[in-house]
Amino acid sequence: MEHILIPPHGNTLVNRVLSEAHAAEAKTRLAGKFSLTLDDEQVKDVKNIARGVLSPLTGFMNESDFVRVVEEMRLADGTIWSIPFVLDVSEEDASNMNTGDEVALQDATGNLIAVLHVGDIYGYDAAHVARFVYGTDDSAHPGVAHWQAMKSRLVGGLIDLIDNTKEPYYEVNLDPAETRYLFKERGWKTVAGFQTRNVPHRAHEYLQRCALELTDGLFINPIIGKKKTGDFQDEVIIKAYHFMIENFFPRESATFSILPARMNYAGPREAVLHAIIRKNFGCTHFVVGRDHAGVGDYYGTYAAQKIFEGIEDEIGIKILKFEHSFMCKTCETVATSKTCGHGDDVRVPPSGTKIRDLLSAGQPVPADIMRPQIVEMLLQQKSLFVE
Amino acid sequence: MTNKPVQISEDLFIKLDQMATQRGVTVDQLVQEMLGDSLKAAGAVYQDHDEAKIKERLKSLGYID
Ligand SMILES: [Zn+2]
Repeated sequence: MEHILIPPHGNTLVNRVLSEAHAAEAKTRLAGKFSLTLDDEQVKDVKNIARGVLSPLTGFMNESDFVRVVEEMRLADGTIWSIPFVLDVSEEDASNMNTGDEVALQDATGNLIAVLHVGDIYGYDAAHVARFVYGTDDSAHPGVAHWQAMKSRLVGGLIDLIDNTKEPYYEVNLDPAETRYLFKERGWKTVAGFQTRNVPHRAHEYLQRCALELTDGLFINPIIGKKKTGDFQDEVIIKAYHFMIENFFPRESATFSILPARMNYAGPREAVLHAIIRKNFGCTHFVVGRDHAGVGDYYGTYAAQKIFEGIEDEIGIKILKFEHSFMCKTCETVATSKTCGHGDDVRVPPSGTKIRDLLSAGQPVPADIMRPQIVEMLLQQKSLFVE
Repeated sequence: MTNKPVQISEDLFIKLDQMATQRGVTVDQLVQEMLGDSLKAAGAVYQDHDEAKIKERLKSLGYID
């Protein structure tokens, strides 16, 4: 029987990674041409677009896509899409570009990353975007603050990727075409995607196991990249999951690969983006806990689950909705309020602050919160957290 | 490689100009077209998702045996 794999979002896996010959030719062609310098997050956007992570996006959004995504959570052609992917430029840079131009995109070190085929050049209202996408225009929200600080013009257009390097951590960085092949090779017809930015504690593991009980495979996909002070270092997250995959999960039913990507902290809207991304990687299911991708108290506890009501079938990936999990001393297991009938007095929630405080002081995290082997590994690291 | 305007021989320019005039395009457009054709001849524009290559990379990274 033919292996049935979920189609990518928009039905085509986007591939805009230039072949070696064409990348070399593009380098020659762009030498000395007008260029824009991207920050690290924008470089990730470009690479994710070109590699199909953000299928069906083929470039930075033109105005019709941008406006409809902001206001209606759909691309101009009606496909569900929740977060704008745009390239902001100064008035001066905008005045140096015309629709149809080829512009070199380079990183902060001057390394040529991609070609941008200039499409629309347009303006935007940051407060308007913020209210729709983030549900607030409070500048204390990091996503809103980001939009308020952006340059005044946006430039859309197709991307052709020249620099397809995957450093650092290239050895655990798979493209959608690769994960799709991997899932097929392992014979997984259903795969649960798990989004994280953390070192796994027992409550995470519980959700992962619950998801895996329902599917053939588990795909743990930590987002790495720009962090807030106090977040775990990328390297530590990777080491911890490596350890879990090697020592706890069955090799034939679990795997992990990182996703270098921007975090928007857009709560429900970001949960939709995260689900679409995992669909592109080949996942049929996606875990959404409470407060997914949120920050502060901007979103209701269940907002990131509720947003899928009425659009889950259209997106085409099954959302596995979970309550917060905790260790219950009376149940003597990790559970959720759905499965444990006891009170808060016997429930040990996996407090991120507590874990951080203990580890920072070189103290072990209690075994009912985090596996002792993980704790031991963490305590051996020179640097655990972003300063 | 140079970013500066390139000198070409008058003979070559005259030939290009004649070809461009015949086609009703500018010399610049003609050169772009020819470049496009030579690129097509150079092979696929994008890296193909060749299963053998994917398999090799996944093997080398230990994802599959
Ligand atoms: Zn209980």
